[in-house]
Amino acid sequence: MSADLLHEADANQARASDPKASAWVSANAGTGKTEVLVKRTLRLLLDGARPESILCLTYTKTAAAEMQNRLLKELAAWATMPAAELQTKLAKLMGRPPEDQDLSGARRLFARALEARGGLKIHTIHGFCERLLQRFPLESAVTPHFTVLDDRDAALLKRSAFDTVVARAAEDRNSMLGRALDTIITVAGEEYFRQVVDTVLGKRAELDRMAAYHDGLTEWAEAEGAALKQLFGVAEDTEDALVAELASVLSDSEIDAALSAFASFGSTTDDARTEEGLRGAKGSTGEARAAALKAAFLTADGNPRARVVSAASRRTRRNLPRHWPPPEPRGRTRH
Amino acid sequence: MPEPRAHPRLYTIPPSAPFLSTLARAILAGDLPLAGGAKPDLLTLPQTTIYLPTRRAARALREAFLTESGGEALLLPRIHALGHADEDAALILDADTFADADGALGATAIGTLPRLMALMRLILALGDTLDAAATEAEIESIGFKSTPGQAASLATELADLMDVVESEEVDFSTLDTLVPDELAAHWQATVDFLKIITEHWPQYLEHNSLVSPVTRRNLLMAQETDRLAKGSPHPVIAAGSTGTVPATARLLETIAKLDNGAVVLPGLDFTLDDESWESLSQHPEHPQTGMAELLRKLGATRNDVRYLPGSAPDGAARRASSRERSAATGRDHGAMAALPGERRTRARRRASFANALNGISLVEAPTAHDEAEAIALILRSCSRRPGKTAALVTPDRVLARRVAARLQSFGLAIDDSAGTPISRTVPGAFLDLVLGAAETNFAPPELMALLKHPLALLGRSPGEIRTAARTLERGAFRDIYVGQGLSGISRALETAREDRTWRRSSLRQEEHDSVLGLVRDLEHAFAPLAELFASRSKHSMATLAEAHAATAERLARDTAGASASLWQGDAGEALTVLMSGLIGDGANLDMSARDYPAFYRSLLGRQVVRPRGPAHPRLFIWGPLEARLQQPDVVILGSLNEGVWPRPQEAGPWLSRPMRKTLGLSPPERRLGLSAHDFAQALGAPTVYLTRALKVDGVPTVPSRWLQRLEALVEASGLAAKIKPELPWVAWARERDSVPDFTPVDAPQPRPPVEARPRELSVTRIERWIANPYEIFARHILKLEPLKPLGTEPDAAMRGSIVHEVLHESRVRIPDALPADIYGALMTTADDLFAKLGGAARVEAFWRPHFQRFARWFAATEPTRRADITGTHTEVDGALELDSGFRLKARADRIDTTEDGGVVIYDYKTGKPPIPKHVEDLYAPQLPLEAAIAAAGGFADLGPRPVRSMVYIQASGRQDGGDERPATNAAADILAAKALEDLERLVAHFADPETPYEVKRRSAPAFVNVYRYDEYEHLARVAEWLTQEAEEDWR
Repeated sequence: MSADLLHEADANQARASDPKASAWVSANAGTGKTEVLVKRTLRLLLDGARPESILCLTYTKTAAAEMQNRLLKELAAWATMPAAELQTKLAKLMGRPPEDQDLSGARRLFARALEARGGLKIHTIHGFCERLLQRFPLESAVTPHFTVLDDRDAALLKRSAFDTVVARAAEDRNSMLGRALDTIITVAGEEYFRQVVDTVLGKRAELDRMAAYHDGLTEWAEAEGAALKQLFGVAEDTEDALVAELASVLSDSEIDAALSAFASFGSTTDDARTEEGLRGAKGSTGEARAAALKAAFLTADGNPRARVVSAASRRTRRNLPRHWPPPEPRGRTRH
Repeated sequence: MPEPRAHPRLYTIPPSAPFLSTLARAILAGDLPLAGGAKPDLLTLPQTTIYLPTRRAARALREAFLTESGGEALLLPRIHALGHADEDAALILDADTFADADGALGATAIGTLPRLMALMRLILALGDTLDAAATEAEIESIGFKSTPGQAASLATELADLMDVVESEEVDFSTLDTLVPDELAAHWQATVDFLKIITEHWPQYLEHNSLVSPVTRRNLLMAQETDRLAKGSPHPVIAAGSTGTVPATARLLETIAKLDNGAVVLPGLDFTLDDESWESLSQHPEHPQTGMAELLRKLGATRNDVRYLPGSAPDGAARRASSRERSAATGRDHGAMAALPGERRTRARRRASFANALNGISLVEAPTAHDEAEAIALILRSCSRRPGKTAALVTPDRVLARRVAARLQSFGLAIDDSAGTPISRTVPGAFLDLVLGAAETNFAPPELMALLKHPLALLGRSPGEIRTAARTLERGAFRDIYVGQGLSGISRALETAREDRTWRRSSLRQEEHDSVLGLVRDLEHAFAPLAELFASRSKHSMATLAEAHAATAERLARDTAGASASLWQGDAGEALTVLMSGLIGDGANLDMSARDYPAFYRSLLGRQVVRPRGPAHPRLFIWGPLEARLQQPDVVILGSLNEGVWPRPQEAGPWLSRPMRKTLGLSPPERRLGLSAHDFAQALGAPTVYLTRALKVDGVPTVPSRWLQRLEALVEASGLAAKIKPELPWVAWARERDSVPDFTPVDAPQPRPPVEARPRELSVTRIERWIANPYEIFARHILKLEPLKPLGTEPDAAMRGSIVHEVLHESRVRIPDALPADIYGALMTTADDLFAKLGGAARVEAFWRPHFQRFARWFAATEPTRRADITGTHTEVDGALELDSGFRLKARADRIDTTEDGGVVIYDYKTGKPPIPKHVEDLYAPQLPLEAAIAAAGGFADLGPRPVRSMVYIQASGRQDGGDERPATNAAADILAAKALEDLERLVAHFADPETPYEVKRRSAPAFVNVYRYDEYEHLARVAEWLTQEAEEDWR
């Protein structure tokens, strides 16, 4: 059985390392992924690809170094191996018996790989990007000998930028920045806001894209607002309007119907709370009604209650829907 | 005049022979230029002219002559340095060599610094034009709006490109035709940019009657070539150059064809087979390519080259050294192993290869530090053998620095001949720190760094200034610091004397005066720079540099008023030259003071200070360039990792490889070939150590390609054991870090004597006592308070104390009756306190507006609170003595007396107050304990009072502005009693001398914040022994 598994593994590796196929390989640690990559590169080189024309990208510098070392080790062995051994190796790799030029070509690969123009291109993704930027200083608008900012310096720069902007906002409270700051301080302390800014900075590419899609940040904010309103089925967004809408969610007759339904089926704590809320709402108006309905259908945090009607009651009375009425919009107020 | 011989006279010296000594010996013996010629005597020797590639080689040759002459008096021959294209520093020929030639040339070379600055001006100007052009054309400007710092870096790149182009005598005018039409648009941007060197630069030079350094060199060499072509009455010898630069090649050609001329090539390989030799032109990375090309230019073949008399390696040695070189660098190893019927020759080859490996060892160290240590040990052992010379050769300056540092601790002073970056030298670092302090407006860390530098004296003795600096640190910077600039420091010091709200340390009068004096002197010293930094307008670079130097001098003034120490030594002199250059030539380059630091650092980035003479007579540290033509007894080739030695060459940022080819520029691999040649030459020394580190900075390395070739051959020949070092250098190196025995540290269990244990604590400390007794130990028994970092910003603790202060002050100012405008009263006090914080960003943006919102909420809710209240007291001190004699102290934020004779206790919190459950479970016993004190009459003016409720007021400023919530739903008096009981038990427990003040990490969620900000974590070395959260429940 295990021989079969090995055979299968070998076959999979062979398929994955076939340079003619584009492949996506997923495997557990230690099962030979690097091996597959090395084999694939070797086969490419044997097929006649120039070492300079192969690009390997890895995530870590360790992986890049490891890959390069394994590749060169194999090629070094080929250069000086006795002919018979080399033949077997190549046969296994190429899937066919090697010809004379294959053998001599294989022997030369070591030197060719070592002397590849610009070195073997096995880089980390970051390294590759850095090289690109260095190669095209005018297009990337970066001077050729730049250094990459490390995390600590980046944090210091961000901090200083944050302080500058915040100071400017504080200076002129009527400017756009000042008004934005006024909005922020009502809901956030400085630490939390700093974290928010950090997160936003991390996603600024996406933000730019969205803003461009909507022709601008303000337009986008408005579009988002409209979309949210639509999602929650809310027409207004002033506090009074919300309260009024909340209050009008159930009419008195509907409340009566619900109360009578509860009355006939007894109640658990869930039901009792709903009942109490409904009773409080009936006959009252405006804020009081809204508050009573809130108590009936929402938890203290403003989220919809998981169970408005207890399971037992629902079982016995089928046409009481599980979640009614529709969930409230959680407006900017504390209501 | 004798006709130049058609057949060039060429010699070579193999790497196994020390080049310069062999050369000197041959000349003295009369074997050069013509083998078997007459020995030169005292009068004819000085008429011989010798050309060498570098000045260092010229110096070394002079020494070799003196050694080889065996103590006889000598007048040395004329030895000139040609200046190699690779030597970035010594591009200009010896001034004295060709001093008269300048007049004949009719043009002076532009200096390095003026060239950079001129290029910078062009780049900055171009950035503007490109921008304008793009706006006009309404396309996106690719262009290059660069800051002066970036412009300096670009200028260096352009200068390098120009040097290469001029060196190789390539015509740049075909630049815009290089690229096919599809790529033309992108390429156009580069072409426009390179117009700087194709059009503007030549115009600039012509306009100012200047030539670039390389052009001058080429012209001078051409002059020399022409002069020699007419024939020379005296011997002329060119040695050690591979003639890669066309101008040099022409000179060599002329010399070789002279009747009494000769060219000596370094290490020509005779053993490489002809087929490979012919194909060398396709392999610029091969060490022999340069010389192959030279031979072709000279119209000669390898057969025309002879070993210099006296240098021919004997039999085995010859094969050995050549073999190892070709082995290390030959392209086609296959030939060695693959041919059939080769067994016998293979054995012979193996034998000679084994022979070749004599004296070569491979030292592979686990990390870069171990490598440096091992090399230092090797060098030290060489220093013990009298008369033996040894050198570390490596392009890795970090390795060189480490080795030099280690050798210094062994008592051996060795300079790194490749030089130290200027910013790492003492005066260089000082100038940098001066800028650092100025550009950050004297932020505490930068100012302290400057004051602690050995050159910072300000007219005081070193002891005086360091004391003053430390006093300044203690007095102003180790607390919340909100000052800006030097005036901020004086103000902070003044405030510290008056107002002790949040300052812990205080200075004596004379300390205070000395620090103020220091600040005054700093102001005076920085006056030139500070003025420039304050203004937003642009200044000429000369003005900025002058101010920079002036400030540095004032700071470096010693007790006698002299500041000469700043400019002394190799580094000081180099800086003098640099700064004078900036001041002298920087008149027409403008920049704002803000851009100056980046520009200065960018300019200095590549500058290196080379030591004048070797510090040690027998031990050296060289870069590969300095090592050329030298051969010490022991050579250590260090840092043989790919990426360091050699560094794979890219095509560069301006031109791609095909473009370079079309233009006629040599491929970038040419440098690799030269490097490989250096390596091969170095292998000729009697003893060679090849070293590398397996991991650098935690990342595994790839061995250098030359080492890989060597290793491949060694593996194949089964000779791996031969290159193992005889002595265990790496093991010895690692001995340095080894520890014979290691006992990991345990959790501290301090058991101070009972007399030392605290007999009184405040209620706020009780919580921490429960959570983490070690803190009590450190703070109250050891009396250790952590130092704040230099110049801390106003922090949460300060915010809390401001809020408390305001609420206390306004209560104090308006006792009992509520004022009509509570908000106004609060804000008056608050504004005063906030004003002291100097307008820090977070104060203005967050603290003040948050407090305003809180004040509004407070004003709105206060009337409700005051209903049914007979009086309100703030910051009430109270204490309670327990049965055991322990004294519980408290300062209640606010206590209101109710009509029914009870009290309501308030606590103000700027952060989140504990949740009721935590108070009930007595994880947060502060308020219950205060209630206990109140109930027992511990608050003096109030007498014993029943506590009606305990309330937290949260002054967050968010949402409504504030929040008021009862601390707990349980009855206050019951809770208070329980709290006292628990406290008694805690006291009793710690009254036992056996009870340790341990570090605890309890799992209750109430304690999370306590552990997050444990200030004594480091002292208790928690990270070393804490493996898991200990679940403790002694309560």
